[in-house]
Parts: sequence; C-alpha cells; structure tokens
Amino acid sequence: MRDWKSIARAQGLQIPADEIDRTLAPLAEVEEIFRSLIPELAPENEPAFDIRLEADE
Amino acid sequence: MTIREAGQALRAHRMSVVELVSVALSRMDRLNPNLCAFITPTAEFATQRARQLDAELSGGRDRGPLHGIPIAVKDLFFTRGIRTTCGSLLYENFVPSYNATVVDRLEAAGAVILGKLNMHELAYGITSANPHFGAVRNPWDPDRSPGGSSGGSGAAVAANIVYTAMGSDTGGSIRIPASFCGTVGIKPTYGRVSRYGALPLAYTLDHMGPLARSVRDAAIMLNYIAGYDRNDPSSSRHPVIDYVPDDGCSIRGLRLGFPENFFFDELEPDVESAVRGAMARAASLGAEVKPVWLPDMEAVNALARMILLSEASAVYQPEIQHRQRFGADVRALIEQGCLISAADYINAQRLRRKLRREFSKLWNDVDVLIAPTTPNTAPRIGEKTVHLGGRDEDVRLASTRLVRGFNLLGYPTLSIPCGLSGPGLPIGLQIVGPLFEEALILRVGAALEDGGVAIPPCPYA
Repeated sequence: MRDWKSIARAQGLQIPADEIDRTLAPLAEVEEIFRSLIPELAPENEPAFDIRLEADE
Repeated sequence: MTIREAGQALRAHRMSVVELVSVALSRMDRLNPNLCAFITPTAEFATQRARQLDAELSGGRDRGPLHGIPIAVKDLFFTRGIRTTCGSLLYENFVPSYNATVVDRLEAAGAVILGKLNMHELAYGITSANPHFGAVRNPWDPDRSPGGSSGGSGAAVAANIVYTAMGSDTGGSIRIPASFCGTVGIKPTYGRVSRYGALPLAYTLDHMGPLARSVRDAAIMLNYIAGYDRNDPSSSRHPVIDYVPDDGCSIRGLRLGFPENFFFDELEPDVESAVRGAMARAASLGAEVKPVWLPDMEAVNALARMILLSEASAVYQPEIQHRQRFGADVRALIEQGCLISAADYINAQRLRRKLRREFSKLWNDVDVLIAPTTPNTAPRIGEKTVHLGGRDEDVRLASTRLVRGFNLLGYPTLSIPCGLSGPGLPIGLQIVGPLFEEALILRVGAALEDGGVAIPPCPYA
C-alpha cells in the first residue's frame, strides 16, 4: 500500500495536519480493491478512453 | 400535466406560452426561497422568449413537442450571456460567450429556459448542500437532501416548477436526485448526448441527460439532445431514432434481468420491497424476469472512483493551492486525486475495458437489467452516514453504490419512481440496457409507468 501522507507532502499539497487523515483515508480503501485487480491485467489489455479520433479531423 | 398535455393546451389555444411560463415563474417565485433550487432565475429572458414563441405559433411556425415548454438547466451548462457558476466560487462571475450544445438544441426546439439550477459544487458530490449558493431542499421533505449533483434539477421538476430539467451524471448525478425526488431521470449511453459546453468533471465518465415528470417527457427531451456533435470528441455517430415509447407499449416476452448479487445487498427494507413489487408487476405484464449473476461490481465501483478522482484532479489541480475557494468535501476529493499516479490511472482504464467485455456477455441472457437506483431514500441535510444492513455507511458511498458502475460501463440507464417508503419518501428503480438501447429502456419504463409503477405527485407541489 502507498504511503499517501508522504506522497501528499512530496507533491506539496498544503493539507492541514488536522485534516490529513480524514482526507486520505478513502484512498487507502479504494486502493485495496484496485491493487487486488492488477494481477488480472495482461500486457495486451489496452486502456478504454473512448475518445473518438474522427472528431478531431 | 405532461409535456404532451401542455403542448395540446397550447395548440388548442386554451393557454398561451406566456401564460404557461407565467404559471411556472410564479411557482418558482413562491417555492424557490425555501427549495434553493435555482441559482440564477432568468424570468425576464423567459418571458421575452415566451412572447416570441406565441407569435411563432400564431404565425403557423410550430417547433414541435418542446415548443413553449418551461424547462431549466443545471448551472454547469454554458449559457451565452447568462452567468454560469457551476456551483463554485471559481466560476462565481463567469458569463459564457457561447451555449452548450444541449442548450442550443433545446432552444432551437422551442423550450423556454426559466433559469440555472443549483447543484453540488462543481458536480462533485451527491448532497447538493452547496456551501456557496445554499443547500437545495427536497420538495418531499425540505429537511432532506434532493440528492445530487443535479439536486436543483430534481427539486425543480418534483416541485412542478418546470416540466423537465437538464442534469449531468458522472457517478449517479442524474439518477440519485431522480430517485430521492421521485422523478424520472435518464443517463444515456456515453457519447449519445454532447458534453460540449458543460463543465467537465471526469472526461470519460461524464454523461448529460434530463430529469422529467414522466418517462415519455424524458424521451421527448432525449429526441432533441441526442446526436453527433463535432465539438465533443467523445460524441457518437450512432443513428438517432425516435425515443418516445408508443402509447400502450408492451414488455411482453422481454427478458428482464434481476441481479442476484450486489444490487440487493444492504438496502432499506422499503426500497427492496418496492423494487421487488415492480418486478412482480413487470412479470404480470408479460415480461420474463430472469435472475442473473453480475461481474464484480465492487471492482467496477473502485475503478470508477480511481478514474473520477484522477480526471477531476487533472481539471482542478491548478486551483487547489487556493484551498479556501473550495468546499471541504470537494477540496478533499481533489487532493486525493492529485496523488494517484499516471500508471494507476492507465491501469484503471485497462481494467475498465476488461470489465466492460465481461459485463457485455450479460446481454446474451437478458434484454435489460432492473435494480434499485439507490439503496436508501433521501437522507437528512447534513447527515454524514446512513444505516443500512446493520452498519453505518458514508452517505456518499451508499448513494452512489448502485449507480456509479454504469458510468464506467457507459450503458444507458433510466431511473423511475417505483414507490414511497413508510415516511413517504420516493424510491427509485433503474433500468439498464445495452449500449445505445435508450429506446428499449424507455419502453420498459413507460410500460411499467402505464402499468401503475408510479408514485403520487409530490405533496409540496
């Protein structure tokens, strides 16, 4: 699991000390499910961005 | 009165557009001080427009079913020359120089916009307790939340101020207020309705759609707003059809999937019994109700949250140093999203494609899926948790639990009211269909509505 507090500090986010635990707690929860899914990915699994390039033409 | 009935009254000269709009504006004046549904009313503009539309009808120009119909739009749709706050201090004085595509299309169809609707700040939340423009109140019980983020849209429709209102939905923001306020709401397929000129929250999850008093009214709106838009890079060229269900439409023989996992876990008991009652009614109308087992919806929700956090923070990262300009809940979400790595975001999008493929196999077995929209009815304003299944759950996570996944999957989803709880609060059910099958889910919704799956009008209205 990531050390979200350290990452927040390294990114320079100015989260007050009395807010930081409450702010970052949901990340740990969602990360736990997310990390468990990563082993399912094979290199050929491509991302789904769904932006249609013909619109840029 | 429905849009069709109002249109008949206009064309039979029983009422003018000016009169129809004047009734709506009077209701807005009377109810809005308590409901806080509108941020910027546009009464003068609406009255002027009504006169023009009356003149057109008298002169033989009829723009169709929306001609002269009072509507409103969530305050994240850009309106040329009219303030568009997005419920945020960042845009407090923002006056766009152009219209959102849906605004252009609705105006061309003859709709009369009465104002810009209050919402959760930046559409990033589900309570619509806006710290800058006031908390929107639920017309069924003004001490309760209308849901969000399109809370003003739900409140204005439920309170009978407007016939229909535009909302947006990134993680349930049309369907949650529809459920809590007892209205219909449709989140179309991703790419079906243009996002151009609507403030983005998450580029690959944002959907635009209407809330309305009936399924057919929502379908009329979709007829005008659906379709390709070269200004929206995600816009689809899939053909647009007439989405309005026929009178007497049938669901005989349709296979309705009834999820055995996830969707009936930890519900308010009244929600479960109302949705099961609607399923029984569907069966009595000739539909085949089939139990189905769905792919891992907790995984789907987790990926949707990762992607939402990342994309929303990409939009607002430049502003986050000005912490005081955001409400506390929105600020926390933006800060969370700033910490997710690019690799994690891309992996979430890779898993998204994989889960979509798995989920799409469902459509071999059923035509549509039916489930509760929200596990809970409208919470009290300020309530942080709801008690479901014997435990306290964050009200935001509970309210989005059953809807968020369909933003990730992109499927069209319709929420309709299906009953009232013991305390008299609306309960919603959602009908989910394969990509671009809006006509099918609207047909199912209309058949259920015609078959008595409905609620009485809001007493506040």
